[in-house]
Formats: sequence, structure tokens, C-alpha cells
Amino acid sequence: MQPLIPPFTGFGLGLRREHYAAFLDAPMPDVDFVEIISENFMVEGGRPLVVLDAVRRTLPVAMHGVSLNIGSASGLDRDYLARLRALADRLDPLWVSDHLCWTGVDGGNSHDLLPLPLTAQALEIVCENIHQAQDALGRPMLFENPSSYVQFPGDEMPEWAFLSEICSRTGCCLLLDINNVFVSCTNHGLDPRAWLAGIPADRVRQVHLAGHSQGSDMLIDTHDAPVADPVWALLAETLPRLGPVAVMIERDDHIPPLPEILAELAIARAIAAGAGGLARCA
Amino acid sequence: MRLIEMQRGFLGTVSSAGEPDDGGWPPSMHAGLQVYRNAYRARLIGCLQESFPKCRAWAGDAAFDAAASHHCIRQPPTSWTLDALGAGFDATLAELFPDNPELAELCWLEWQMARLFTAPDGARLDAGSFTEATARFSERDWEEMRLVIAPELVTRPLFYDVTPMWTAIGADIPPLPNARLPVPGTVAVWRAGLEPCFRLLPDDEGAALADAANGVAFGEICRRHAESVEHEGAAARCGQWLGRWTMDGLIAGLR
Repeated sequence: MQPLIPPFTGFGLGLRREHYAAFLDAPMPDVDFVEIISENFMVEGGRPLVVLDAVRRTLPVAMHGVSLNIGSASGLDRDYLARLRALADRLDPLWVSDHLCWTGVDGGNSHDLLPLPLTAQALEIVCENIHQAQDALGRPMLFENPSSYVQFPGDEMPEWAFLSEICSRTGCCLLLDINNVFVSCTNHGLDPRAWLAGIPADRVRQVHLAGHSQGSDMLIDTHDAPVADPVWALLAETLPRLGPVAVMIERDDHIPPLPEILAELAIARAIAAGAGGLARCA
Repeated sequence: MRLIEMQRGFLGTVSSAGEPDDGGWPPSMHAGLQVYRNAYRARLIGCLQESFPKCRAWAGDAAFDAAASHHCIRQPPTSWTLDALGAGFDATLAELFPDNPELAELCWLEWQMARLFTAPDGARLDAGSFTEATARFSERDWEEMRLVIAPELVTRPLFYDVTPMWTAIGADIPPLPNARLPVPGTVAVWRAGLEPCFRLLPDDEGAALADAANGVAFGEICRRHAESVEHEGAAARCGQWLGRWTMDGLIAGLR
């Protein structure tokens, strides 16, 4: 098994096209790292890679994907893995992450983070796919808990136990999305604090914070609004349990001017300070 | 149920074009499945809206969205990248808008401009480096010179003048009537530096550029132009094109 991913402590943002100019101009926004959507840069050339290379010269970059399809029963896409590896080799990122989900099967693709049944059979398949992905990338990965809108009647374990198992079986680490915990637990009538108490805290390397919306029947993970108060509260309660982590705000729709997101990041900094500060790397 | 069977059924329910049915899923999952169904449709149509803003403005929002929905049903996504969803959308529009053939041409152009945004980078000869490279050329060297054309260049025949459409859409210029070209032309799309660009070429220049891209020697390009279009001044005309192609950033090298 590959060694665990070394931790990184700091506060960051998702690098979005609307804010490219700000990250290319001096003074650089006050962040410790940026996260990119990997697929946006798995391209042959052009402006996206020029911008990314320039940003990478001054900031650490975390790669976050949405199309690895780690839970697919029909296996992983080798071309995708090769392109992901090429981007990782180019960037030397903090880490490469994706979601505990599936996006398609038999070549079809939903371009959504679809839910996995929490069964022993699914666990076997996910772990086999994680081993394959980590071998192809030559590095261990992080996996994020997605928001979910269904629970399968045949589930055999809670999501936190599933995440804990993939960590122990594959050596991967976790990207803890606290908004997703809140959304999923609210939708399924679960206790987010019990959920958070169950995960292996020492495997969390990154924390995502984002906004959600109220749908007609349930909460929807829309990334189009400021972080909600209950999510800030969960962050404050969770941070003291975690080791060194990278904390960031995600915004993918209704993207406001950069100062507004930096102000939100300042709230995360203040909450972390109030909780005794982020643990430092050894 | 085996995981692969569950996933086939789930994807079928999420991507189903018809009225929602329960797909055999228990009632406790129905509301959540509808969330995934709505997200699937919204994401794909949103991707096409974002990829083809000029086509959407030209066709009208409602007509465009209906066509986008049709395209996603006929050609559901199979690539890991959403960017691939627009492939073949021009054919969908040609089928759905037979009375507006200019829309499919505009769509092809918009697709190529977006695609070339992330095409491979490559060096180009500018006027100075071209002059330097050819400074000692003999007449025979000019005859035998083969151009290395920018590898991302794509061309196609065009029957409508998309240039004013392209400029007008989104620029607060009153809509223009679709203008059929008096003589069909060729549109060339390539990337100059980091910027995708296009130019409508007269048919004879389009043929010469296609020859150049296929490795035909410059002398032969001049002869073909002389035989097919104009006997007098063919070399001078081809020389003008060569200068323009250099200025446009279309020449990657000489062989």
C-alpha cells in the first residue's frame, strides 16, 4: 500500500474562470492554495493551461475531479486515467481527489454524482477501482462524501462506515464536505453529528464548504449560495477533532466577485481560530 | 441485485426521456430520483446553452432549448467530458430547422471555435521568421516549398455569410437577415496564439489552402490556380495568400 498523503494546512478557494484575472495579477488573493476542477484542465493546450501554470508557480494546487466514476461496476476509463495522470505530473498537486459515487455505466455518462448502495458488494467494487486508480496515478487519492437524494432499501452500513472501510482497505484519505454531510443527513433524517463522529478523522486531508438550496422535497447541493449557518456550526464542532487540513469554499454557480468569497473564507478562518486554530503539519 | 444491474436501471431511470415512471424503485426513492432526473436534463441542456450562445440567440431560447433536449435524447453523453456533448449538434439543428440552414452553419462554427480554444499549442512563423527562412530561396526552392499549416485548422464549405451574424449576435446590433452568399465560400477556423479565429475565404483561396494543408508544393498550388481560375497573375495572387496566411498565424513551418 502506498504511504498516506502528507497533510497541508491552510485556507483556499476553488479556482474559477471568473476569478482568473485576480489570480494572475498582483497582489495575489490571500489564500494558501487553490483547488481546480481537474476535467477543466485535462485539455491539449490553450489559455486554461497557461493560466493554471501561472497560478501554480505561486500557489499549491489541489486537483478535484468529477468524472473518475470510482463506483462504476463496469470499470474505469483508461483514457481518462491517463489524462488525469498527465495533469498530475504537470502540476505536482497537493493531492488528487474525486467523489465516492458513480457517474455512468457501460459507457453511458450522467455527468452527475450518482449514489452508491452502501453494501459489501459495492464496497468490494469501489476498493478494487480505487486500487486501480491509485496505481494508474502513482499516488493515493482523496475521496469526498457526495450529497445524496436517495437511500437504497438494501443498504448494509452507514456512509461513514463505508468511507472508513475504503480508507483502511486502500490507503486513500478523505475530503470531508461538511455541506454534503448536512444536506444528506437532512434529506435522509440522519444526525450529522453522529455521521461526523463516525469517520476516521485522522484520514481527513481537506474540508469543503459550500451553499445549498431548498428544493421542493429536499435540500439540494447547488454551490450557488453562501455557506449556511448550520454548516458553519458543524465546521466549528468538527475542526478540533481533525488533524492538519486544508479548508476551502466551493462556489460553482451565481459566482460573486472574489472579495465576497474571500470574506466567506475569512469566516472559516475565524471559526478555525475560535476552535483553537487548524492543527499544524508536523 | 448485482451492482451493475442496479446502475443500468438507475441510469435508465435518470436519463429516460419520457414521463417519469417508478422504474421498479420503491416509493421512498421516487422524490430523490426526480432530483437526479431534473439535474441530468438541466446539466446537459445548460452545457449546450453555454457552448452555443450565438446559436441560442439566433434560434430563440425556447426553440434552442427544445433542440438541445432533442439532441441529448438522440445522442446521450458517453464521454467523460461534457465538452463532447456539442459534437454533432449542427446535424441536429440542420434536421430540426430545415428552413434555417444558416443555423447549422453557425453552429458548426461556434463548435469549432470552442473546440480550438483548448487545441494543442504550437509555434507559428511570423512575417519576420518567414522572410528569414526564405531569404536565400532560389526559384526552384519556391517551387518546391511545402507549407506546414497549423494542425488545428479546420475548413468547410459555407453557403451563408456567418460573419455579420457572428458579429451582430450579442453585440446589441439589430438582427440581420440570413444572407446567402452569392457564391459558396470556405470558412477556415484556427487559433492565432491563444485566440480561436475564423475567416471566410473565397473558394479559390480555400482550395489553395486545402492543397497547402495536404502538402502540395507551392509551385503546384500556383499552377492549379492558373489552370482553374486565372492564367495571368496566378503566382502573384498565391503570393498574396501566402502573405495573408503568414499574418493570420496559419503557417507553422516550411518543408
